[in-house]
Amino acid sequence: MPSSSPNRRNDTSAPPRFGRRLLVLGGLGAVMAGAVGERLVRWQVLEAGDLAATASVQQRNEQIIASRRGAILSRDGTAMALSRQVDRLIGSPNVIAEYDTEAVVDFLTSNLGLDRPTVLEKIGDPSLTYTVIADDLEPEHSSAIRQAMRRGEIGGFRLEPITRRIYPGNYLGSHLIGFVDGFGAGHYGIESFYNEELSGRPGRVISDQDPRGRTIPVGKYDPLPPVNGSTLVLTMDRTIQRIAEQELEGGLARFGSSSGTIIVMDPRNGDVLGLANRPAFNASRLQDYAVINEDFINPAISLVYDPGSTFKIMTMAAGLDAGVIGPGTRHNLPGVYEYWGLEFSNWDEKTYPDQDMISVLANSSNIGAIFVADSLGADSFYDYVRAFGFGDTTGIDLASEVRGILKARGSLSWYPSDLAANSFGQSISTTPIQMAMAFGVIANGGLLMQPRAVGRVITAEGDVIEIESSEIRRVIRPSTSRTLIDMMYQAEHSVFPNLALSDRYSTVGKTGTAEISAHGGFLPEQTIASYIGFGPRENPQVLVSVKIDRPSTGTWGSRVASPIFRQVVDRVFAYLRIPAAA
Amino acid sequence: MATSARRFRFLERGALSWPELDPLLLILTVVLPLIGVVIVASALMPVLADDAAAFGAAVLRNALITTIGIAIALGVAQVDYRRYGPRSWLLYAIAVALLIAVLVPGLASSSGPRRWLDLSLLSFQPSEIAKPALIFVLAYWAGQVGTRVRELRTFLIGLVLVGIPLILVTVEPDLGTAVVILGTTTTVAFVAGARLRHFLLIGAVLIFGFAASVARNPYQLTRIRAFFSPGDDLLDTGYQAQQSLLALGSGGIAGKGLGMGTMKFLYLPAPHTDSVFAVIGEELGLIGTATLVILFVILLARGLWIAHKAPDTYGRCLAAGISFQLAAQAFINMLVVTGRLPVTGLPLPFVSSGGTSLIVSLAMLGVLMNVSRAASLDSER
Repeated sequence: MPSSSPNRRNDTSAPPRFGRRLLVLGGLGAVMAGAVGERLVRWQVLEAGDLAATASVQQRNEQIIASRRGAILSRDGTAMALSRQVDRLIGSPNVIAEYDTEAVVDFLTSNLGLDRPTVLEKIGDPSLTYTVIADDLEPEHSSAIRQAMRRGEIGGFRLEPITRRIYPGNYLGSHLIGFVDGFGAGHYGIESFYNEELSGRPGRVISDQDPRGRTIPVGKYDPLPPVNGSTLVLTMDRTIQRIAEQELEGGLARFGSSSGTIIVMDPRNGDVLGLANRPAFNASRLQDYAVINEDFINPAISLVYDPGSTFKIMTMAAGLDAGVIGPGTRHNLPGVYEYWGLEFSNWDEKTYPDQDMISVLANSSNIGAIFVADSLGADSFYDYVRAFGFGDTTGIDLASEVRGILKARGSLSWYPSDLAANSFGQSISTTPIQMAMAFGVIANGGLLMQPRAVGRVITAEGDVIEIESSEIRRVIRPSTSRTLIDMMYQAEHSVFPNLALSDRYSTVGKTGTAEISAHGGFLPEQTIASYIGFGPRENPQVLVSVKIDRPSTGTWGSRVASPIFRQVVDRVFAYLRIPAAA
Repeated sequence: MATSARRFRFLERGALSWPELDPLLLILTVVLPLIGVVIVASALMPVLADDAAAFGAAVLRNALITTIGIAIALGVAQVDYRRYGPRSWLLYAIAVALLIAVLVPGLASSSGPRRWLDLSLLSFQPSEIAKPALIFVLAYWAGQVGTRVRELRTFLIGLVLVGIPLILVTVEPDLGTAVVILGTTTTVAFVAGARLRHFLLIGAVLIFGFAASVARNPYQLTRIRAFFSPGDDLLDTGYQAQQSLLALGSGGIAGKGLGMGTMKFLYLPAPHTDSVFAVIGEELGLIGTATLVILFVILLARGLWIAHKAPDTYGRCLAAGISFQLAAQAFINMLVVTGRLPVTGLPLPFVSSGGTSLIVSLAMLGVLMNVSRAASLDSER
């Protein structure tokens, strides 16, 4: 062992207790390593499941991807409701303040068409961090803003995509269509009834996110794409709808009324070709309306009235079909008639001796209707009334349809005298759509159809689903229907002047002048004037129902509703190229 | 020319011959930093999402520093540790000077604890230099004083020697490094044969130093409190400790797979440095973490074996000090990540990204390899 210096020799011998102390260090290291190992086993084996679950809860995020709401098209293919992706311009005035304010204001006024004071008011306060500058930004405006921001000319803006429901028709067909609220839920009409089909199914993305909400690229990423809503094609024709609305508005103005309904249908399949109410609402200006608003309600399906004389057609149809009367059955019609303790009278309170059933219709005799109902008997009468669809909803595909009030025979509210009142359409509440469908039975050879507003569904994938028209039941025999149409025709032509009759087209129908029941009695001098009819007589294709509430210049259906009916028939039949009668 | 010729004499003599290097340490020298390069690249993935160029630069930089570090380790392994024995005093002086410089306003990084020296080109932590400097100076000095180490006078001189940089580091404040320095110097003094009763003095210094540090920086107390009640203070230190456990638990036994960890995305604090062990735990599972523990156990065992075989007390103390310091720092880092110790901000040697720490750790491993060579040469004779 070479040792050059004493110092070196001294150095070569190990310090006292050296080996033992090395072992102590080794032991210390082993204890630390063991402590680490114990912890690792605990966290990575024993409690690994719980910890992993906690980590997963902390990171997992579910984001909903909205589906696109389907459009609503008229039968002729015009959009009545559609959803558009627009941008909302959001500004952070505190950031905008860092840019040349003049340049920013100039940019916004010249590119977005905003006026200067508005812009200044919105971005002028640099203590604000959030302000909505404009909604409904068109794509070209959005891209102009993006480019300017990229060039660094303006800053502190953010674009947020939002979906807008647009109703190009404004008032047109608003009760049929309904509307969508700010949360995307449909209300009233088609928007509500078909809300599920229109809205589709939203998608979602499940992903792991970091604490700032950014998706972790190596984490879980599970997207479920949204299913966009279907597009619905209405049975409504925009031209017919427009005719109905124009004639209704004209009629209301002419006869001093503020509310009314016109329904135009195809009696063969129950298609609603047009449905007009006044008052209506402007679907493009929903912000002007209170949340709960009578104007949103569709009176054609949601409000009831006592139909009055138009209902005599149902009574007559029942009597004919049951065989208790024929067109030639004759009867004395006293001016005033007592039935089960109540006095009933004809409209003119005159006595008509030995009248046939055609003149009962022509004179619209209440006593004649009572005679028919009484001949049928209550059981048979109400069986027919129910078969015509009264006392139940028609099943139209619009939201909030009501069933009306038909007192059940034998119920506590029903009196035997109600049979008499019901026979000419009083003490019974119906919706306009129920009356239209009941008249449709006569027009359609005795079959009650289910009315419908949507004829075709186009799915987001482009599949076209035709909705079949559906018949509810046979109410009367075809021969009864033919007989009754002939009777109605003769009755109509025995009245002069008959304002319902067109010069060009052959139609049949019935007037109604209903008293308005209220507070257990009737409102004096206030009526609902109506006319329901259809044509052409030989092959009915179009049914028109006109109802004018409380006309102030004339109370009679024959004066008020008949001329409106005739106007609608002339225009709609011409539009549908229905040949003029020989 | 003459000096440079002498400097590279070992090359001329063909000293750079692999068989003479300790095979076990050689494997550690390559394997540990390699694990580091790979796992740091994975831990930097959140940067990739924001800025691909920055990610590439950071990964390349770490790989480059690691390569340089390995080269330095292999180079240092060729230089007889006894040759720079007397020069360890110079190293000590430089370290103390740098620790003072760090406290000079303007030179140090602007905010928070003044740990980093910003030399615009590279910023580094002088405390990382202080650690090996103290091992060298103490080991060399122990060799010089021999058995006089058992005298109180010698011990007190040593205490002053350690005390100066220790106080400077504590003032920065860098409590974690202070603890490491204290542990390392104690280790060296311990193997050098100092009397155990003298260590009670160190105990007193420790308590005084800790109290002084906490008085200056109350946040350290907050950290320690948070550690003992992880439920409170969830948004701060307790939250960080909790996130490490979630990462370890998510990894389970087999791990999610390299690169597949999600906790490094802003959940773990400093995933590429202090929390890199948690990233290993999540991505490589217990298999990965246990492997790392075993590698450091091997390092310590081998280091102590070399100390036992070293030809002189200088080498003995050097080998024991270096190996225990590296292994202990690794275990402390792991105990922090596994929630046994409060958050200290200590990197995992060889694995964590970080210029100074990585290069210094590898250089010290090189020294250990050289002591090993001297030991084997000595035993052959």
